[in-house]
Amino acid sequence: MRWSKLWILIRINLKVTFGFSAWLYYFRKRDRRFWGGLGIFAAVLAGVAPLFYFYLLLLQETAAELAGTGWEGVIITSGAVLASALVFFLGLVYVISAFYFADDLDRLISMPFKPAEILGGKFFAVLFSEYLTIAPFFIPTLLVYGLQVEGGLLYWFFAIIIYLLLPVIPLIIVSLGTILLMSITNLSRNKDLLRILGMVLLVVVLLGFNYLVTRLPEGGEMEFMLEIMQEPEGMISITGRAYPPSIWITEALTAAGAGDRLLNLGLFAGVSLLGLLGLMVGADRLFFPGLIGGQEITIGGKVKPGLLQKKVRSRSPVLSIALREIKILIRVPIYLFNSILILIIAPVALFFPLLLGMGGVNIDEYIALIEPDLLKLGGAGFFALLGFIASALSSSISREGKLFRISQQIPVHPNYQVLGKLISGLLISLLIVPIIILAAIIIFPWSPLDIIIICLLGLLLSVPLLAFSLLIDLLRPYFNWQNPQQAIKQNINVLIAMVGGFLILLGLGYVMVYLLERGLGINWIFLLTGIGAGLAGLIFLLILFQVAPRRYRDISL
Amino acid sequence: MIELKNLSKSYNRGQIQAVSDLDLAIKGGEIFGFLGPNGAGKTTTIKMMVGLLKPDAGQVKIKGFDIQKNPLEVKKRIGYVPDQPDVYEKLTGLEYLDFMADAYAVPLEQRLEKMEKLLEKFQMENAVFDLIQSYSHGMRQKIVLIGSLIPDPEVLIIDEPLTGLDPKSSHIFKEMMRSRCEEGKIVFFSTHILEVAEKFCDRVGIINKGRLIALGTLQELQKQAQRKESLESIFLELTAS
Ligand SMILES: Nc1ncnc2c1ncn2[C@@H]1O[C@H](COP(=O)(O)OP(=O)(O)O)[C@@H](O)[C@H]1O
Ligand SMILES: [Mg+2]
Repeated sequence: MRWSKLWILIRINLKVTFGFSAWLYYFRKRDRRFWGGLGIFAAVLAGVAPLFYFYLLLLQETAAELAGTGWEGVIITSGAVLASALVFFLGLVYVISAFYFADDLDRLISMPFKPAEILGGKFFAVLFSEYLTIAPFFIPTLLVYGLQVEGGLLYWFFAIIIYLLLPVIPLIIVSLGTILLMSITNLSRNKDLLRILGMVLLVVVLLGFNYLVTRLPEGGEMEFMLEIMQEPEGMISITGRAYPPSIWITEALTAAGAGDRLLNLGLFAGVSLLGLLGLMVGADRLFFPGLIGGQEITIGGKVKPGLLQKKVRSRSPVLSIALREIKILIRVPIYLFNSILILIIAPVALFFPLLLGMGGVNIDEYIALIEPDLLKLGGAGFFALLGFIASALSSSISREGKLFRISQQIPVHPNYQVLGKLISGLLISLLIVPIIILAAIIIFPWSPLDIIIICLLGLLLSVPLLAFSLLIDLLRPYFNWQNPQQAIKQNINVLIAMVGGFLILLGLGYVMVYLLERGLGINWIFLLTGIGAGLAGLIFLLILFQVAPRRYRDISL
Repeated sequence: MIELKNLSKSYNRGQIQAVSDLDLAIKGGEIFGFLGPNGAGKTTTIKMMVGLLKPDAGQVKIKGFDIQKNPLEVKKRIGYVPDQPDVYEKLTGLEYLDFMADAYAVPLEQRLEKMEKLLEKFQMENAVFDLIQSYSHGMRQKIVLIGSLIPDPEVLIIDEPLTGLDPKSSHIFKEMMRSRCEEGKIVFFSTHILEVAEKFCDRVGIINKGRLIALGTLQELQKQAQRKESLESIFLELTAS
């Protein structure tokens, strides 16, 4: 490990990741792209601003309720756990794409850098993205608490250090898990599949471990809860058990004595640094073995008679296109990690903290508070949103890249082709059905009929979302990528479709909740939602059918 | 029957005139060689013929159908093998072939029969079950070629064939093209390699700087040329400027 080399790599990676140079160049040249980018950024901000506002309100209310109870620190603990969990789950996707699928890796390997240096450069680039990601969640927490207790200079100073250190440990856990997994599976023939399973296993093991350490003692729940209630620090310690560093963070910011604070900060920083060292040592051994090789296949041998007859199938062009989409989506690891894996990560990330009883909340009681009808509508919305993200139609045309010429060349009407893509999206959305069933078994009080309604409604809701995102990508596809990662990561359509789809769903949801509050029966609401979704879907579909033939004819690669 | 009328295409807002005012008619049962140096406009012409590129002006008609007005009718009838054998890396060869056969609505019987024959001829019977990402350049060319032959198109359009094929495969390829012509079909291919055109074509069109500068059988071209020599000297003579 040579620091000067590491520094070079960090700088390069940051520049590439955030496109600093490109934006500066566009700005200097007064290029349209600069203002376009700024415009989209502003649109995204405007889209999430209301959500952020609600979050701030929630924080403030919580802080106000905690004031004077001696539990004010809970807000820091929860914020730290939430932010760390976010880093962890997003890290699962960021880390693997940065470490193993970045386009400059081939070049870097052939240059005189050590594995730990290359990996270190990538690690810090991811770390910086995580700073941006957690900022809107964690910084308000620090602010709210700091203002509430009127924290002095020491508090603010420590707060900054903690903000900077917070993503380090979760990211190290993900990184170590990833490089271990990649190197173990690299020689296997089914390595892509194994890697997916490995990722899932990693998540399950970590969460299972968390579950075990935070579980309330069997039979003695009442006593335990009482004990916690009586002791101001009890609540913090139960939350913190899920993730011990969150206790150090809390103590470093809220302990009475300066000595105690320094001690906890030192502990947190020390463990983070030790983790970094461990990662570097691990990288030197494991990084390259997971990255290089493992491409060979078996050719030769006798032809198996009858194999062809068994494997050849005749399908309708529409279905054939849908299957092509799905096959490619699940076989290109970076697409898989960025889309379908969401189906596992999102529900787990969303519900696990609840299941763990984070903040001492009992999940059943919590759910009982929510209007059951609203919950079902929410379930359908969740279904649609998840399917919309997982099926990745917003980059579906772009991902074809120069192979779009095949789509232009075949005698299949463009409308059938986009229909095939939509069907691929709906098929992927079907994977959410088991998730809903599982959620009903574990958490939500849904009957089989409820489940059917939720899934049907969810599927119907996803039609306008899918058609909309396909439309966006069709209007301005990004073909000029060199490597699959760019097709999604540098594709502004993904972002536009995400915000747009979210707004569509929010709009529909708003109308329904409004009607529900006006006392309209839930069955009417379901029906109206279905009709609304169907109509919106039809409209987008018709637009799509107008646009597709022209785009398929006019695009020249 | 292929008819190109006044076909023109420019790039970069008219700065590069890739094809200008091209007229060409090719009847059934011939192998037509579209010959020209690099950058002459062969690929551009072919892309307009198969519907990948919109002409600035002019018309492409295949079997009487206009590619602009009736794209599907044209596309059904042509097979196209591009110069770069780019295919879906993450499909197996067989999945790709099946996909193409679905797209061209090839019945199961015909599909199987063609696949068996072609895979054996091009020695792809084993590799066809592997992902295309593991194929060599030549194998990719073969799988694209096989994919375009399964629907048994009336017009086969190939951009720069034979560049990555081994001698055996290229021999088989030539025989196959010949037998297609005997069935009254058209094989249209572009090449910058003279020998290929010389040995292999019924008629040759020479294109240079986007213009068709000579057209005819080999004998006719030799008559046109001042010295009665190989196609090479004719070619050099015509394309020299
Ligand atoms: N996409 C493009 N953009 C700009 N110019 C192009 C493009 N494609 C081809 N050209 C130019 O058009 C001319 C003809 O190219 P092409 O048809 O590929 O020739 P050939 O296939 O005969 O080698 C060349 O001058 C080439 O540089
Ligand atoms: Mg060419």
